[in-house]
Amino acid sequence: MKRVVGILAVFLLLSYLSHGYQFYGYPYIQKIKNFTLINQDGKEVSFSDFRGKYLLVFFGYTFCPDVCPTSMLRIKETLDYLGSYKKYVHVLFISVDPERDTPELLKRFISFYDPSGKYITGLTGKPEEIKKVAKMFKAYYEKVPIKDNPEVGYLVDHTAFIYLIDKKGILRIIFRPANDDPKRIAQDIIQVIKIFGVE
Amino acid sequence: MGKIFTVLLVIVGFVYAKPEIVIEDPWVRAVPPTAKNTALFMVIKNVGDDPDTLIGVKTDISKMVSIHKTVNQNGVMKMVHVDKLTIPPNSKVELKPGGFHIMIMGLKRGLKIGENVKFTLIFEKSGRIILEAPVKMK
Ligand SMILES: [Cu+2]
Repeated sequence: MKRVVGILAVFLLLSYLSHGYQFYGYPYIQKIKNFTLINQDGKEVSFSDFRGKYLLVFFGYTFCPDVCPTSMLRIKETLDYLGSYKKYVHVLFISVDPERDTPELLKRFISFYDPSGKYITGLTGKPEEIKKVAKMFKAYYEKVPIKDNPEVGYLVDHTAFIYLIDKKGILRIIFRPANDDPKRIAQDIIQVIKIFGVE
Repeated sequence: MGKIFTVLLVIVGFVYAKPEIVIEDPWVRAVPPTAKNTALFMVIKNVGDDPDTLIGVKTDISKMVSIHKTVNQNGVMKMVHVDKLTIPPNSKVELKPGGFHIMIMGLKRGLKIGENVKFTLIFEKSGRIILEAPVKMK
């Protein structure tokens, strides 16, 4: 009950702040604790390094055949719909397959969706570290071996939410895989930027 | 006489009821050069009056191909292997992102956007259907 009231309060607060705008994603409030992982250049980066930017966070893996390419394309299209707001937004692609996703692989993966190299950061790291980060986002993943073909190895079942974090590191909106209209995601992002402002 | 005629009609009907498979808008998803997996999507139409079933797919570009379905189980996206895919008469089955797809695993080479990839679909009744699917970023 308390939780329901809490969620309702989040809805009301956001819609009050945005003058009745109906959010496409699911409003949420959660402070994300700092964490440090390895980026596509093999350098350590912390979540706090992105303070000041609005972040779209997605958990996936570069071998992902259907879900991640769809979500990454939607994210790319979302960035394109942001227009002049694009400069306030950055994407974190966090690997749930750190054993295979080396920084080099991540770099080639993200540059496919962002040739400029400015808007997407790929993150990998020690499996335990990734696990901790995923837990904070309530993201879930699990290796699934492929029978009859050891060469292909395994797939990873995973949640495919897109998380919108504000410039202070607070999770504000969650987009479910069914909410994948890039135009409407972009509208939500712009709305959140309007509420919480830019640096 | 009337009876014989009916029987004949039934036999003729039985012989001539057959599926007719039409493939529309096939495409292969463009994936980053590092990716080892991708998928083929299309609309499989059966304009005939008998069901048919997709039982296999072949291609040279990968080590393994199979019929899959992506399902959302409490928010977790899973791939489920499907042995065969039946297309009822006068209807269609859509293979699209987030749903049914032909999973291409263990790509032997990178695919270029715009290139055509050859596939052979194997149907229970219609036999082999060869198609060329362009690689698209969508
Ligand atoms: Cu699949």
